[in-house]
Amino acid sequence: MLEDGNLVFAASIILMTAATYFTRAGGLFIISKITPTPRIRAFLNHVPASILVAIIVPNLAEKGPAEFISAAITAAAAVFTRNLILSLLTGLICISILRAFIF
Amino acid sequence: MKTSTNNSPGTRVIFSGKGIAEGFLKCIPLGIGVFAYGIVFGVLAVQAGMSPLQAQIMSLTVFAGASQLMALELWDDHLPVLALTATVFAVNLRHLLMGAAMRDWLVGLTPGKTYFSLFFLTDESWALSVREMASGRKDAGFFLGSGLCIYIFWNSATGLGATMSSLVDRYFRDPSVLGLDFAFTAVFLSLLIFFWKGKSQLPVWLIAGIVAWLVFLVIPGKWSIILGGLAGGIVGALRNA
Repeated sequence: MLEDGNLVFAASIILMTAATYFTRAGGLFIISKITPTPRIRAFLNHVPASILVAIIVPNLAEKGPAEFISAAITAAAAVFTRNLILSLLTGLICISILRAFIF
Repeated sequence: MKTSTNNSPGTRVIFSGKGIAEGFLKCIPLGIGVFAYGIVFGVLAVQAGMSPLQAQIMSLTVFAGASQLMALELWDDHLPVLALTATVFAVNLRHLLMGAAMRDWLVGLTPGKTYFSLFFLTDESWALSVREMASGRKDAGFFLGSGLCIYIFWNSATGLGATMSSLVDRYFRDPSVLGLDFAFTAVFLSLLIFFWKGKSQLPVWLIAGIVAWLVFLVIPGKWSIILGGLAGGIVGALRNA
């Protein structure tokens, strides 16, 4: 019985690993077979920032004023410092203070 | 928009140890955030009925934070193998788009380097790498190095969470302590700011955000990321070509 369980576990792991690796490698595989036209290049150039927007918006959508204010200050810090660590630290300090004392 | 279809502006892309080291080091702050969630995964995996060894094996092979946490929802004495696989696949579809966006760095490399590096693609290391790529870095080792960094933090945290779950659970149940839940939003937001080149991008970002928000309201999971990303890319292609 234990061996059956191990077998099913192994099968799940192998299939899940294959599924994740397929998604990681598949996009590049497809694009590497295509000679990109200017239009495809423009598409690829705009995908990274679009994905970042698409990660951030739902993350903030269900949050409250503490997160909105911290996000605005983080963005301002990124504009002025152009430094990831500094703007990340600014955001973390900001959210901690707002959550602890205000919201 | 340049009229040339040549994809190699300037020098060739290389893949060096120095690049790997730089990617690894630059990714450490993100690795610390991932570490917090790795502990949560380890604790929850044991609570869901996995052995610490099984949890570790899963983090070493599947290596996908959101999908692993969703897999725990389905974890049972009788594993629903196909449902697990389908869930993991759907959650990770966004990586297809992310991998494609790494074209300029990865297409010129040997297949071994390319497809080994892609095993370590995560949202966090991808976001950092694609920003480096856009800012003109020509060393694709950065992408592998940042991925390895996340891999090491995620796996050591899984081990810690799974083996010391009862102890850890008491002190570290919720990453929102210390604002860690906000950390990734702050990172992605900062990287987005660095992508800003001028207000011609505004329609692209606006459409990406609106589509992501609408999809998020209708379909749970990560569909908002891939559909928002696709929408932005399509708007960009229509405007610029």
